[in-house]
Amino acid sequence: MRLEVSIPPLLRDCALGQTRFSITAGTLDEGLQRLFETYPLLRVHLYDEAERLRKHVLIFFNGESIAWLDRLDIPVRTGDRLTILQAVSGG
Amino acid sequence: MAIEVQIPGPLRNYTGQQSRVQAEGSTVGEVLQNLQAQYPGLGSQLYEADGSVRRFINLFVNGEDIRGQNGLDTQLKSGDKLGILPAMAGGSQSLSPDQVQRYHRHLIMPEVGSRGQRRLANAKVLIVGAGGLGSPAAMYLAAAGVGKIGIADFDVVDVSNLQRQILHGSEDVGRPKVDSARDTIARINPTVEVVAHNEPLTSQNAREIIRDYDIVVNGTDNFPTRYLVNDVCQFEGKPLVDGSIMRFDGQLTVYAPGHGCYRDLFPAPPPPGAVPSCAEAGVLGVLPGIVGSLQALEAIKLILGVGEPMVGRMLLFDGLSMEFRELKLRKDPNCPVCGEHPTITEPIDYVQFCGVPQQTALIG
Repeated sequence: MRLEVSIPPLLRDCALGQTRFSITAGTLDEGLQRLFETYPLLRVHLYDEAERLRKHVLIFFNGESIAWLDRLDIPVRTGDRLTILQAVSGG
Repeated sequence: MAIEVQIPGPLRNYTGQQSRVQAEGSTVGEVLQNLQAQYPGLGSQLYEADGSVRRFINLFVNGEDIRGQNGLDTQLKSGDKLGILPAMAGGSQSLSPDQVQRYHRHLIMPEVGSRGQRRLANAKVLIVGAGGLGSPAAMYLAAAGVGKIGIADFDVVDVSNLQRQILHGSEDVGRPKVDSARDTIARINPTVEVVAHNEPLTSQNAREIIRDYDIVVNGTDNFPTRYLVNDVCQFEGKPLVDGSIMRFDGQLTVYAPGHGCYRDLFPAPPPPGAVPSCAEAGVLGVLPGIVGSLQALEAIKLILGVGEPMVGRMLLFDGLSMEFRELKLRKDPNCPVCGEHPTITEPIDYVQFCGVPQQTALIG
């Protein structure tokens, strides 16, 4: 199934200049794995050395933070959305 | 010929609670007479004993005051709409005839009306940063009739601000932003009281400044001030209409007391240098126009108590794809500021917390 991914424009250089693209995955877990295998630099920006999501970053699956999910091996349906958000300060 | 007559809230008791009724007539005077014939209770509301229309009743044809036309003899044609707007009683609470004219398009909306307009007039909104976001927010809030607008900014206008900071113009370069903001607001709506806070917002002064306002609109451009404003709004129990921008993208949400805060999303700022500022990464000039206008809209909704404020959700705007996307937010019970057992109850040292200098604070 195709997972629609959206990343912050400031990180587009980590994904060959794209901010929106899709990845094929059976589950959310697999989708995240595939995302970071394909774009390893993205992981560096989103996770710290201890593999924890950085505190100015959130990952949303269909509008809900993945931090709220009990498990990540949930099936992906075509059209599901993964949105990566990071704090920006501009005003 | 039947004309649609718009009945304001206070007079609907006489029209069976209908907000729009039909009455025959080819002039305003005829329509009023026929309206009175249909709804006899309206007579004493609209007319003096001598048969003249009461002084505090304002009449509009398609939004234009009949005093600027032919008064009661103003001709009506099919499809015209006649609006009736009484200046509300209540001493200092009443709307003046000037206000009735100025805010007519608000007054005919059931969500605003005379009561909502008076709420706006009594509202006090602090705008932190007279920059990209603060400009449209301040201008729309002023135009909408918000009674008191505070502007917190200690910067002076730079020519590089003008591509997006529409409170300021070329002739303002070098002037304090609060001064050009005050002039622009006065030009839009001289009845607004502008309070200029021409000083950096700090851990020492922020509580005292924010305490005087009902709502805070966040238009700051740096992380230390974002955490400062967030924390102080929580301490003081003030709703914070938050926005931030970068290049073609914007984020918007409302932190209402008791419903979460900025720290629930972002417990800590990015490491210094990890996320550039607008000065470093750029921002399309119109982008803050969109997000700042949405902030004004959210502030007005809070003042009026209408609609569904952006509480518990964040709007992401992508100007390149022209897409709005909504994310759900949750309160963090372990938040050190708004959680169940807060450990931060006074402003801290935000420069140290963010690990960045605050010298660019509030540039927008």
